[in-house]
Amino acid sequence: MKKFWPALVAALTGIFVIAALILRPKLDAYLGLILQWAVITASMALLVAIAKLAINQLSAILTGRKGFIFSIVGLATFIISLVGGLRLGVDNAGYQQWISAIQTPLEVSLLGLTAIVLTSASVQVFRKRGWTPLTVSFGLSAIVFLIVQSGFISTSKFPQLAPIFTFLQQVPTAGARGLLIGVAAGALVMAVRVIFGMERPASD
Amino acid sequence: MADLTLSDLVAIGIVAIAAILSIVYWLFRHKLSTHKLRRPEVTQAVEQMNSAAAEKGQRLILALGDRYNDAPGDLGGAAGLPLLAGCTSRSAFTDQPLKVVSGDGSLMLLSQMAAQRIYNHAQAPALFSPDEIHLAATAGWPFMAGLLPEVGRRGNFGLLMDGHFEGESLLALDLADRKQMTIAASSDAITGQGAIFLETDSPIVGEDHFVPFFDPAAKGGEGAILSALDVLRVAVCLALVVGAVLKLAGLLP
Repeated sequence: MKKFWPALVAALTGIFVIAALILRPKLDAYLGLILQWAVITASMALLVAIAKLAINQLSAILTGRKGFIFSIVGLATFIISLVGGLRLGVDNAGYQQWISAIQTPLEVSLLGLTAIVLTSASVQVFRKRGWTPLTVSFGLSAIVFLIVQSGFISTSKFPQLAPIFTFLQQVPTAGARGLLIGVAAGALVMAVRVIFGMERPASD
Repeated sequence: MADLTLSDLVAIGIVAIAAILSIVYWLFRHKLSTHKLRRPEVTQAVEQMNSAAAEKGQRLILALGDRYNDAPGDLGGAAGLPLLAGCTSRSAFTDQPLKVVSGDGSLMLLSQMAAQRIYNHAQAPALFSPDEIHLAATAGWPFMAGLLPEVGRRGNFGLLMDGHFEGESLLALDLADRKQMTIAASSDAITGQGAIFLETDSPIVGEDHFVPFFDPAAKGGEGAILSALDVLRVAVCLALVVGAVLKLAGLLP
């Protein structure tokens, strides 16, 4: 019974949100209210999680855990960002520029690292799995689409090839859409199960 | 009621089919013969990983991804929670607590709730402590920056990744591979699925992400999901073929 009531409330809320989405704009006010509650709850959860993260870092510093220097840097950056945001406001141009000046180079350097790892992993896939139909088709399609999408070959001299190139350029999009339809179908089944209380992801 | 477009009606139809299928298969879940159903290879890999980690007395790391409630695809982020509950329950066998790294505040708290339930009834609570569940960051790249040091630590047997991961997950997967850790991963993002294809032997494609990896409590429920997904898959394929034919025939705009 302890598990029944939360599941029932969750199910009724889910059904109401779906109904409100279909019956718009009649139930817009109630839908907005429920979504606001969700936003507030999620924000509070984020605050609690961030506080827990800060406490963990502080604990690492106080106990002198290995790598505590990084915890000092992390915690100091967090406090400076928090104080800066509270004093200047998160929409302040100077504050945003300051945050971006730190965050963007870090993200770009990780992106560069990912590009190198991606190249290495693409080559190693043949070593790991051998020359199977899957790996060969993966390698060939990667080369073909890299050439087609990068614009190395111009169809201006060979207009009769233009339809073929247009078709080839659409193939990756079609494949991605196929995968997305699959993911959406999976999410739909999961959502239905959660709404009807058949699945409780956060429960045992 | 607002005017419903053709797309709205199609969407309502698909939801209705999914709901009916899920309910029917769930009601008859105990009569389903699950051994004939197609399971993703990764589900077996997770079972083996838990057993092998127990033999070696090393720990597993579970990354739950960086998205739960702030963007579309949220349910994909929650897919790792049953895996967390299953692996945490097995911590008594591995003799090592499961290390969980999350990239979303709500996801972290839900994970702690799931672990807390086991923790409260545990004989050896140190193995099920919610303190082993951490928030790394709240976005893709910073989350990966927080996950990498955890993967790089000594004494890790394997890396489990189940949730929303984009292409940057390749960094963690590659590090785990270089450290000769066992890997099992799944993502609802296409770029993440691409990274997993490159780095693991049992890649996950499309809707397989929502099949429970490892859930002793699921019993027939897992069969219900697999059966519903199988029928939905066929229905979607048929709809696509019919749509393509109608489009070619000029009957659809």
